[in-house]
Amino acid sequence: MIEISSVTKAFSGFRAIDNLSLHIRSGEYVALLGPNGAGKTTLVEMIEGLQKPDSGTIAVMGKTWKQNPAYLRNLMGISLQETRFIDKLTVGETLDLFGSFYGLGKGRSREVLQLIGLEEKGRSFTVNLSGGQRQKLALGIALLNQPPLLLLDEPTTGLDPNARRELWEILMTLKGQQRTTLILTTHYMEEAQYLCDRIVILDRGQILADGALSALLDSFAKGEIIELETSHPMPENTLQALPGLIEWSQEGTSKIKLTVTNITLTLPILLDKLRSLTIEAVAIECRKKTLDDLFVAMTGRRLNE
Amino acid sequence: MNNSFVNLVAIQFREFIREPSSLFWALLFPIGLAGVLGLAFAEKGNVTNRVAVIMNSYSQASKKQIDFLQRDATFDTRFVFKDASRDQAFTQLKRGAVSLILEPLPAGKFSFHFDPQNEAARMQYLLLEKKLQQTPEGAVAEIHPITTQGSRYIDFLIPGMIALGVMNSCIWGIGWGLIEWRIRKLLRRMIATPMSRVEFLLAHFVTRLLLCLIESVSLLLFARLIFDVTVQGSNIALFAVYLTGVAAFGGIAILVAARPQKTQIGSGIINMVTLSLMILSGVFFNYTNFPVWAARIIQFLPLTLLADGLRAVCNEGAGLVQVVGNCLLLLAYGVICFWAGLRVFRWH
Ligand SMILES: Nc1ncnc2c1ncn2[C@@H]1O[C@H](COP(=O)(O)OP(=O)(O)OP(=O)(O)O)[C@@H](O)[C@H]1O
Ligand SMILES: [Mg+2]
Repeated sequence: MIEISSVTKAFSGFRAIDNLSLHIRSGEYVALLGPNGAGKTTLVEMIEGLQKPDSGTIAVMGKTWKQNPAYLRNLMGISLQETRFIDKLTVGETLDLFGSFYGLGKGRSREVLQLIGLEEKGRSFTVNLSGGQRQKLALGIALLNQPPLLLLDEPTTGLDPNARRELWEILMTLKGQQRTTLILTTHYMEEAQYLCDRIVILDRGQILADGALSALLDSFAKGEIIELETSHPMPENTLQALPGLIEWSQEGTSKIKLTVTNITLTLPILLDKLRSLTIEAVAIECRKKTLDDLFVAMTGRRLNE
Repeated sequence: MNNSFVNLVAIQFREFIREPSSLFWALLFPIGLAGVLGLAFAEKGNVTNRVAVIMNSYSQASKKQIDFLQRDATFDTRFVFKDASRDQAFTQLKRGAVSLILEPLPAGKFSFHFDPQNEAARMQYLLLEKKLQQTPEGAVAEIHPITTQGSRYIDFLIPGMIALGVMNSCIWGIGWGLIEWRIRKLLRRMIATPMSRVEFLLAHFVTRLLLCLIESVSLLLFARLIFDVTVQGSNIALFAVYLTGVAAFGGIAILVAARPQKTQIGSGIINMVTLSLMILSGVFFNYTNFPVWAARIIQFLPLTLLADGLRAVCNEGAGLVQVVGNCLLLLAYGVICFWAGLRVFRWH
């Protein structure tokens, strides 16, 4: 569906995208993750034809922007990282306007209004919408022409967890019903994890990692995590004798972070040891590794720094 | 020491200095404008009052008196007397090139033609009349107040106001609107759809034409009801001038709005264009107050072409033939600016 080959884009000498190649297949849901300034927006906007690469080529369905701009515009539904609408236009009118650019009737606007759950706001001015409602409208506009390719730049930034989940559901429905390809940029790992089969981690204009979440975690950051807080410090030799321990680190006197191959194997034995040493566990938290751990493992920095 | 008040003042200065365009608009533009205006009026020192003198059989006899008026250095205001035929004199009055007409009568008498509603004309009359009393002939003056439609100051003013309205409405309405949409990234969002760009800009133009029509027709109706201002020439000619005027300023608006990405720069450019044209183009006063070389250029500025065209139709009874030149020039302004604007237009 999308073929990006050795694309570079620099802003006054600074390489926002640095010799990047990426192939995206039809029907894939791809998340672009990366810290601020990683180049996500720049990459997405080059695919959208809004920015031109300095070198390298981008082809969508085998066509480049130079050759087939009209065809490509009809193919895509996009939402930009920031757009403000016309203040004194209602939500319905805004949808009608954008629909007309695709030659769509007003019936489609009403369908979309329903799809994004803004029926009761159809007659409100866009200036009076909340941030979340505005993001939904932006998504609605992207969905108007039932595009085979959706490009959403941080569609859920600033939304409360509920609104975010609603938006996810819309996108998941789409995945089920139509064969849509989605490229989404985000700072939220849960979002990438929940929506996308494929995660591309971008940093300083380059791809750090690319693949399914589980595969990425396996290859870059093996293991699961047990965080433990105890009433007294645990003896070091007891810790080191735990089965399946990959590494451990101490935070303060009584807080310990263990990385283990398998929680279900290590945890029962850890609890036995605690009991036999009559050390009380104040708090235990077990979790699988997340993208954030992955990013720290790869760069030594956190994702949303 | 890190004083908050000092900081609050300092940040504003930094903001100001670090935005080169604001420096230009705040400092250089007003200086430049003052310079241009100063240059334009420097030759004259004071405002010169032009008076048309009708040439007739008594003119020879009255010549001495007029020379006396011209020579008299005690006048604070300078007068320039221009000989003209009766028709020429009244046309000049209609165009605002003169506001007073002096007509020699037998036995050293004079009759004054002017619009008593026009403050400047009344002043000129009073000064001249007083001086004439001092000539050896001790002339007696007759006053002929001009109340004929098309010759009063209001008749001069209304077409100018309509032209000004068209300019402001187009440049602010279209230009400012486009710049704001650009800043909101709305243009960028729109061109990511299959929307036709030419259609988009033409839609702005057509909207503006309709809005301008509403504005201008209300103004004209008001002038008609209150001041009995009428259109003496052909309505088709009037509409042709008007339409091409909107085309000219629509095109100019698109050119003006083609690049700016910041409100300060946008409003700066718009202000520069509209203010300069308003000052130069003789909306309120005839541009012959400028030196001849300047007036020769000014007559081809779009606002002048529009205002003069409208005045010709409204006050001098012009038909399509007389204003076709203005129409073509206005259309050329529109087409060239639109084309140039479209070429350099920054959609994002
Ligand atoms: N028009 C521009 N002019 C100059 N520099 C730019 C421009 N656009 C982007 N950059 C720079 O390119 C880099 C990548 O920017 P980009 O907007 O693609 O990042 P991003 O990953 O989308 O970040 P965020 O998560 O904050 O949206 C940044 O360092 C930014 O400063
Ligand atoms: Mg971004």
